[in-house]
Amino acid sequence: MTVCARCVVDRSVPGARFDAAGVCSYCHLHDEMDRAFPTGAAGRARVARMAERVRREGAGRPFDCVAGLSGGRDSTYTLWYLVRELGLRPVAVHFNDGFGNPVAGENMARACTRLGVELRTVTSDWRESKDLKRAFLAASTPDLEEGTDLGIAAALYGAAAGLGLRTIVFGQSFRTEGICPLEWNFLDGRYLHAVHARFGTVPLRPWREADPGFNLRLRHLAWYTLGRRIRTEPLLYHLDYVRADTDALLTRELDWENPGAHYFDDLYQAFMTWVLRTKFGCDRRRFNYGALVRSGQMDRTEALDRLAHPSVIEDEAVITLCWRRLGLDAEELATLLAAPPRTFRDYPSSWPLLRALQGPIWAASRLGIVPGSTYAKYFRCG
Amino acid sequence: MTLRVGMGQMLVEGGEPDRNLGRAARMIAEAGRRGCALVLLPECLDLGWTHPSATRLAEPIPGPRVEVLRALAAEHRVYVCAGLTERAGARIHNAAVLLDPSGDLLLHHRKINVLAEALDLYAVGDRLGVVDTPLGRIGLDICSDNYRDALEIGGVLGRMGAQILLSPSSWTVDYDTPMHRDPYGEKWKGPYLALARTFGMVVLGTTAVGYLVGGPFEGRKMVGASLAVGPEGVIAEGPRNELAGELVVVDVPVPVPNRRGTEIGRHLDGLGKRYLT
Repeated sequence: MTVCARCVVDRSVPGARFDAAGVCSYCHLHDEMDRAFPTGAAGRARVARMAERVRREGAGRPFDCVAGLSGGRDSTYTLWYLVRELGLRPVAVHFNDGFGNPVAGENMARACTRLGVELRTVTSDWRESKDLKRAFLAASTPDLEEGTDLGIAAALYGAAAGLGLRTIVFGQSFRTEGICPLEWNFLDGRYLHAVHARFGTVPLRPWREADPGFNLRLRHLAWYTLGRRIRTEPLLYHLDYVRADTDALLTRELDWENPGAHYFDDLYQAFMTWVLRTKFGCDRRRFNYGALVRSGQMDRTEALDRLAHPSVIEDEAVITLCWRRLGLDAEELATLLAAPPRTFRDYPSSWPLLRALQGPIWAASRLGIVPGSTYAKYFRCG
Repeated sequence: MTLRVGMGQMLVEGGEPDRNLGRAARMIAEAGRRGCALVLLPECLDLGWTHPSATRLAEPIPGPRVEVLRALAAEHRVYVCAGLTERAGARIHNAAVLLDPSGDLLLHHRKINVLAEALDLYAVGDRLGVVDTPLGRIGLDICSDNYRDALEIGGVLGRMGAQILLSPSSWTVDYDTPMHRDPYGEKWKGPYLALARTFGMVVLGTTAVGYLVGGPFEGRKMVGASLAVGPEGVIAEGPRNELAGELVVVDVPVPVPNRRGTEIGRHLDGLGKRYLT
């Protein structure tokens, strides 16, 4: 199979195209975004302006901004940077769907205590989050964490709206994480509700501005971003963020413990990684490692060596914990996994509308109203 | 006399006995390192409170899980009090044990005031007891045994002269209860104070943290805020947290009961009360 001459993306990654030199379209996208979101002095100046704006917004309030927190490396570093380097007063918001890695939970508690940050956990109704996970297994698409991904985004917007804050800072970076192809992860409220309507059994509670639950349709996004003027800030886009150096800093400053692998702040990722690999032929490390290779943070040969073996996240005991926690037995699981693979395109979704709105979404990404990676994900990766 | 207690407010995952016992082991080791004489762990720490796996995975007492705790008590030279899910023939009990630093089983309680929703899973308990130790006379009950409308259970232990009442617990709240507000109000402080003041004892309740992922209370969560109460009032309260466990180390003055037998009833009659609140 063709593998990119520069990174490790191959033809298994939806949307990957290769130029005459054998370099993939994800590398070209990376270079474009690298120019659009510079690091170094320009990045620091951009962050300083953002911090000044956030500080003004927070004047007279108990907090300056919302910081998404999972207990993993990226979000913990982001929280540390906001407090220690920028002197801001974030409120940390975590979304609990019942599959949090206990190591990540302890990281969050320690980090918030040491940084003097209030941690607000938005706990989902377990009956809803379990039902959504079972529904997406039945839908037979790779979006096994659709509920959690959407629940996180909704929780951050809901918290910001409830507290009257206008900035959400989160710890994602295209330079270290890459951008997940659309077919492997399509985040959309209409799609979630369409799958749930067909396969779910527990009613989802309705949207409320400060408590949106599993509701984040385009109209809700429009309300938060245009009505409440809430912006998202991917802080790490602008920083010289080197993953390998971060562990030592976080351990020293916050007694942080590595949960064991990227994404393993969430136990369900063990199950999902296994299902994606064995049922859908997806290995998300392709775009993760591809990004690290492009950024000079991982050797390409090492990345290819690692990709030759299943991810360490595929811990058999944790995989079993996940499907048992969903109330499945081995026979039910086997039936669900044997269903033919599908994608979001097999279900009603906002995709036709999003395509019609491609121009405004591009403009919104350039204005910082939605993350820069959002446009790239929906229109360049799949 | 002052007793240093480690309240092991640990994360409990439903249906995951090995992972839960691993966390209990770390709590006991930490309690030993921090000079605790006794470590109090939550209710049903092996399988989680009301988790349906109890029908498959409950074990006898004594049994393999008690053996693990015995070894830990002996290794770290602490008293260990822990809630376990007990298989007793065809019945399952929500049980608790007290082990001494040699690993000997001193007390074995079976919860009496089982919640109505859990009666299909747990049988009602059949015993109450106290034991004399160098720390004082210790009594043992579990969580809702201390409900305000079941105070006679703790009351019997008080009348038996318990100076220290240990209560492994799994206090739960609705999933959307915010942590920046007091999750329980007087629900536990009220009855704990009534027992402590009436009988001159300390009442210690360690609850778990985490999510209930099965059973009749599926979707509720446990948020810590464990409680130590003496005759003078609240001695200590654990942190509120639904994600991460923590050992809360507390120095507890052990009171000497000043009334015995019918002296207690006469005293209360004189005040026109059943319990001091």
